[in-house]
Amino acid sequence: MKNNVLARAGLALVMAAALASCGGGGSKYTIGGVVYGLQYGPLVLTTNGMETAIQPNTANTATEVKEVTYAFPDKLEYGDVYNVIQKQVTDASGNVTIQQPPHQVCGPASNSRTSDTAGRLSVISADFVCQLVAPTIGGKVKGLGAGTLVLNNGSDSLVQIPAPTPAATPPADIAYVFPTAVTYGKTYGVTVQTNPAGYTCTVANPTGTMGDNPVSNIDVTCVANPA
Amino acid sequence: MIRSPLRAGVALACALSLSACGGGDGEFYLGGSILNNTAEGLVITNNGGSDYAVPAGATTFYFPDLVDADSSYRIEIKQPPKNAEKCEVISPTGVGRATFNINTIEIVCTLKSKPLNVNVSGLRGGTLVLVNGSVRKDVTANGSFEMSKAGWGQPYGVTVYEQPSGQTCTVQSGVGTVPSADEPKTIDVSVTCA
Repeated sequence: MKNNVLARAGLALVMAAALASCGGGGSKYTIGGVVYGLQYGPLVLTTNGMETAIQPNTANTATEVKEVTYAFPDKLEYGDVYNVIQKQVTDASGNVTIQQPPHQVCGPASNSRTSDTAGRLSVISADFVCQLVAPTIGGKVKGLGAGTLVLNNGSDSLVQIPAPTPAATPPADIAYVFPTAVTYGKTYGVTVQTNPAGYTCTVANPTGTMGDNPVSNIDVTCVANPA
Repeated sequence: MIRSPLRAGVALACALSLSACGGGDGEFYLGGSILNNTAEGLVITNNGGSDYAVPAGATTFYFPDLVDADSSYRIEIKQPPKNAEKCEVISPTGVGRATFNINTIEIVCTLKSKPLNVNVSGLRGGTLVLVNGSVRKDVTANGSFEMSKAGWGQPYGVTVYEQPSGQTCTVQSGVGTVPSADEPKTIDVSVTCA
């Protein structure tokens, strides 16, 4: 009997100690993580009624974007459920969209657990990845009656534009888009790689620096060569 | 008790048939993706075995010989495409696992390139801004400089992004395709300001 009681007491003590180490005794869990690729702030994340605005690493250089470590201000109790998401905003017409940082698109890192139960894993790391937006460039080709026009954006991309079929007089306008998009802040410069046989084409608005939206004013006018 | 010897017999038969299936007559495809394979010449091997010539333009590859389950592979580049400086295999070695074909091996070739040189003349001051797509150069003095490297077979198109104040510059021979050959050694573009 005596041994039994002692053993039970011992077991209870062990259990109590184990619980305390697991957070049952009031341990708190910090919700945080790492943001990769953030160049323009803020990235606003929310969970459990909290919100944090994350700014780019101040050590970022022109060639290197460093990661940012963040944490929400309040800690969670053992067993609390968290779900870290980007802040959502409602526009004037009632549509709910994710608020992205300027010039970028962010999302949860593919291998990161952004929602879970506090205490299930010893370390909570809700990680996000950000990229600069990369809108497309393009425009309209006018007057292309025959053959194929080839345009380049420097060494970055080529696009082949065949004349519309069936042929019409005057030829129908053709909308085109380069297959490779242009990253925010990068320049573009469109030139005629190859004129269609029998035509000479000139490019309007050929150069620019990419902003947040697609460029669609790089119009090309083709004129039949004099016989 | 009667079944036991039977089972042993079945196991033996399996082992025999497995070994009969071995030696390059395996069950699983071994392959993956290729970047910048735009010319003839790429030859790869597995475990130092027979050459596999990958056709020009292929963006994926699979060795014609299937591999056995749980056999190891080691992919090597024997020869890059004619227009490539070199090719590298990402994660070239591994062990084939039963039930899955292997299609995650990446071969990345680096195209041979030559300098895209620009010679500016007649600039009297101010800043001329030139671009080749996303490559930007701000020019403040006459002379030659390297705009960028241009890969064999790749297009280029040098154009004026911003004219210097009070002058108009024009680009000669600014557009073309880099020849897939050792000669010429450089691509030369001239810009004249007036």
